Amino acid sequence: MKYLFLIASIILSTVICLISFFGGFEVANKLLYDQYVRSCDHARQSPSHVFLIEMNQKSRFQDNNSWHVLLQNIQKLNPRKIILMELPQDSSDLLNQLAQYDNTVVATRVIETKDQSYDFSPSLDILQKLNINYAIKSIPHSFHGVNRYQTTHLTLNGITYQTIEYMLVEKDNINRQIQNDSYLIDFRGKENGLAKLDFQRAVAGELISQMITNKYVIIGSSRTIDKNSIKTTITPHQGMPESHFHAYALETLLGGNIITEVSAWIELILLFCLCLFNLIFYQYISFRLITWISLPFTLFYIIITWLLLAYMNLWLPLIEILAANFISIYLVYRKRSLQQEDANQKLVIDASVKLRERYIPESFFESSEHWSQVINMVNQALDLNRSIFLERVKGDHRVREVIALNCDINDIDEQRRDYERTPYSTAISQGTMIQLDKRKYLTINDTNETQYLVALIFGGIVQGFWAFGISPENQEKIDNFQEIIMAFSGQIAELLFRREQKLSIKQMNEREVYKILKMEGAGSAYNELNSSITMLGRRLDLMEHVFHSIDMAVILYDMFGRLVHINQPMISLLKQSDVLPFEMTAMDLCVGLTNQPIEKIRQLFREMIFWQNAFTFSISFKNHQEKKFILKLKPMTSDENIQEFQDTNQFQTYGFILEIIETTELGKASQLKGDFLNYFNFKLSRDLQNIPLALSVLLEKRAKKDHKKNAVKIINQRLRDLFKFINEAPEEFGRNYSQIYQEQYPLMPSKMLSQASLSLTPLAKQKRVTLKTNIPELATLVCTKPELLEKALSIITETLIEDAKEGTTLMTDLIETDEQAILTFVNDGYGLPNEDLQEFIFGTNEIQSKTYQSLRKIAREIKDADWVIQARSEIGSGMNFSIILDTKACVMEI
Amino acid sequence: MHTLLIIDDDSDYQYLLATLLEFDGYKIVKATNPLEAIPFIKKEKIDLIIMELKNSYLEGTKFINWLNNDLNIEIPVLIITAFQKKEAQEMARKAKLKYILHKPSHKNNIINKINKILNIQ
Repeated sequence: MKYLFLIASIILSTVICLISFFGGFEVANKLLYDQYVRSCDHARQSPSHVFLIEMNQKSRFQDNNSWHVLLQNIQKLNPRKIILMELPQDSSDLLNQLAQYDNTVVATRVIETKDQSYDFSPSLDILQKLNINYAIKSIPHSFHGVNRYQTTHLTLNGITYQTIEYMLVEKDNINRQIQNDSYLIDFRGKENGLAKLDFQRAVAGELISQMITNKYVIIGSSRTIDKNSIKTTITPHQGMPESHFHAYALETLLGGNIITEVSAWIELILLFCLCLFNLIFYQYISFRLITWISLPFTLFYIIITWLLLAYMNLWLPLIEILAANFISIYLVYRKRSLQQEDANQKLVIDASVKLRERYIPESFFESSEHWSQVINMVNQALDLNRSIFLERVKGDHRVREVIALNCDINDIDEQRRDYERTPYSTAISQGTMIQLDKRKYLTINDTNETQYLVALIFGGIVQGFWAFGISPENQEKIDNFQEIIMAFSGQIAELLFRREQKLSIKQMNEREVYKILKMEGAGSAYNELNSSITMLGRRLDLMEHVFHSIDMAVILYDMFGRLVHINQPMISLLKQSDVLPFEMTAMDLCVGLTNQPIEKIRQLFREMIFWQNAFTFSISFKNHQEKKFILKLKPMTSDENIQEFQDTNQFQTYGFILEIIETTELGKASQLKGDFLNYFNFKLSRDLQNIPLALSVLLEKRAKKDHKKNAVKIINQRLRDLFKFINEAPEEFGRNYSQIYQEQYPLMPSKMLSQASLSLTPLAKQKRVTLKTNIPELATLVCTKPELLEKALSIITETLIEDAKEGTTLMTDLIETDEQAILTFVNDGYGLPNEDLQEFIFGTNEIQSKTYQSLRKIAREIKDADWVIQARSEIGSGMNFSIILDTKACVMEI
Repeated sequence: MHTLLIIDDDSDYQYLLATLLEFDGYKIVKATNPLEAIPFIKKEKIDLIIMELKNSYLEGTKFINWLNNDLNIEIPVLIITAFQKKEAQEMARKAKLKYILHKPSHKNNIINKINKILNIQ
């Protein structure tokens, strides 16, 4: 809202004024007023206009003579007025005497009669008859027991009388502006009492002119402890004699010290200005400073009120001012808190949305497309002809199809969908996948497939069913088919069960009643924040897991060289080499790993910090001599998004990443390329050899026509071969690591065999088996998948080591024929019946042994690669394996 | 007339080298691999074996070692190989083979080397 602060100021000031008007702040205000008046004692030392002659109880019974003497004594000193607040017991003579003086005034008391009328003491009739000046003495009603005001008039029986104080100033033509016929008596600076003298002493002639001359002399009683005692601002407890009260009131009027109270309108304007100021001013003050700034302002209001009272006779409604001050500050505070809360809420919700959108894919448990995720998972792992998932209908014994892969969702012949009947009940009771009769379940299509149905059961609860068809060929390719399908179905059932559980909990949590019971009725921001933090936590956990899971060993240092983070592979790698990264700086570690002089490393660090250069070193570890590593040191340079969170952004670099990358595999690829380059030279040299020889034949005079014809033919053939070879070779050279390693590449099986033997030497030593190889140094290249060959050699060698008897030799040979490279592996081991080995490797029955599962898998891959694998075993003799590779199949054939 | 045994699985090379050497008056016997050459060595008087280091079934160096050590047959051997010089020389040195040429070599170099080995002016 545009003028919110203006409207708030008006409303607030009006409300406070209204409360004030109806006396809401009266008690507190008056108590504060009393305190202020009492504290003004030293600030007000004005000359007195009134002198008080006090008489005690005894004095009242003095004879008229004493009174006459007193009056004469006073009159001699030229008083302005003599006011008799009390008269002696028998006052008739005195009244006659008083009639002689113009400057005497008798105060008459108002007495309420039984008939609800009023009478006066002394009687007004007598006073009028004797022509004595008189006036009504009145004590107004107290406010909460304290008399602060005196009235100017008193109306009795319809007749308005001036009160004695007002009458006196009126008669002396002293004009005082008094609002509402009452005024605050000025008790300031009068704590020590009025100028006064005891009656007896006055009679005895102790009066002097400074006391009396031109002053208003009040003769009154000093009695306080009776029903007439008056409690005032300065005598809140013990009470004040009536004469004193009138003396103060008279002094107030005569001294012109009437304390003015601000009118309601001025109060309203004052409060409005104050509220307006606060609402505007505090908007620009920070939260922390609001308290500290509001304190001096409050103090200022308290002091200014005191100063105005002490020196300007003005009483401000301090309680109203303080109330307006605090409430307006609170409003600003509250408004800003709400704004901040709103901003925080928005921030939290935005952050949550961003987190959801950016980092966290929709959870399986929250997604409405969970079946798609299930079917994707199945599809990416199993080559099924078609799949249909069915889910259980809640509260029913029926199932309904929900999603299909590679077929229509309606491709089910079975119509009952009742899981208490077959085939569903059979699948449930058997607890495994059951083969289905095509005519009774999935619709028949042209594809050759076997159909299965699996119940998705978790915790004894049927979650659904999975019907699928698979071709026998594809099924054969999947090892432990049934085991894998059951593992999948178990996982899917558990996922569905957990999803159902989570959804139930979520739905319950979202119910308003439940929220209220949990006292989270309005806790959306908290929940969002909680959710964001949870998501962030999950994300961080995931990132940390990823950080630790990556094969590359990584350490993160800050720019001061202190270790910030290290991943698990790095810890393991360094631990194996007895390097303690937690006790080293980045530079120490680099020096230790690279064996470079410290000065050189220092220079590289300088370049890295100031020019953001990265460096790479080839390194090795004493415990991993067979492996190759590179150490990469690179700076983390400033990024706008990151910089704001960094304290040390004076440099563009705020840390270093130290990576150790194992390049053994890359080295192997590089070696394969090297082998191929050697072969390229060999092939080129060999083919070129025929050309000068053929030319020599052509130039030879003794050569016959046939010789020359053959020579030409050979030249042409060789040139064609060479052109083809030269054209194809760059493609082989240009392949990257993954292409070389996972696709067909010309390689020397002899080197692969050597590597496999080397890597299994520790196992062989453990089993006390000697590995012996008979491999030609100059082997022909075969075009094959290096990864597959390496794996095959490794698995076969490992199997034979496991089977070998202790102290025996495992012999590995490579024989090259014209068109083949034959690898043979023979051990002297325990062996097993040959038919069993054949079944294990080439059969289809389930096997439990992990070793033979691996062998069967690799045998299948070898067959797929068009190699030949043979195996033979005999109990007591051991096993032998052969792999036959086709050297002619390579495009680079010699 | 000297009898030379050429062992090489490149039939074109065999043919061309044999043709040229026959023009120079040598008797040539050919085998595509060491296993195939053994009957000739046993049957005929071979004055010089010309062979590649790399052969099917048996490497050149292993074949020569086998001849020398197992069959006690000492026949001069001229290695004409397409392998890199350094690698081939190292293998020849290990197998105590004195004569080595690298492919591609000109006819005259080959014949000069053969004549030198057979002490023919």
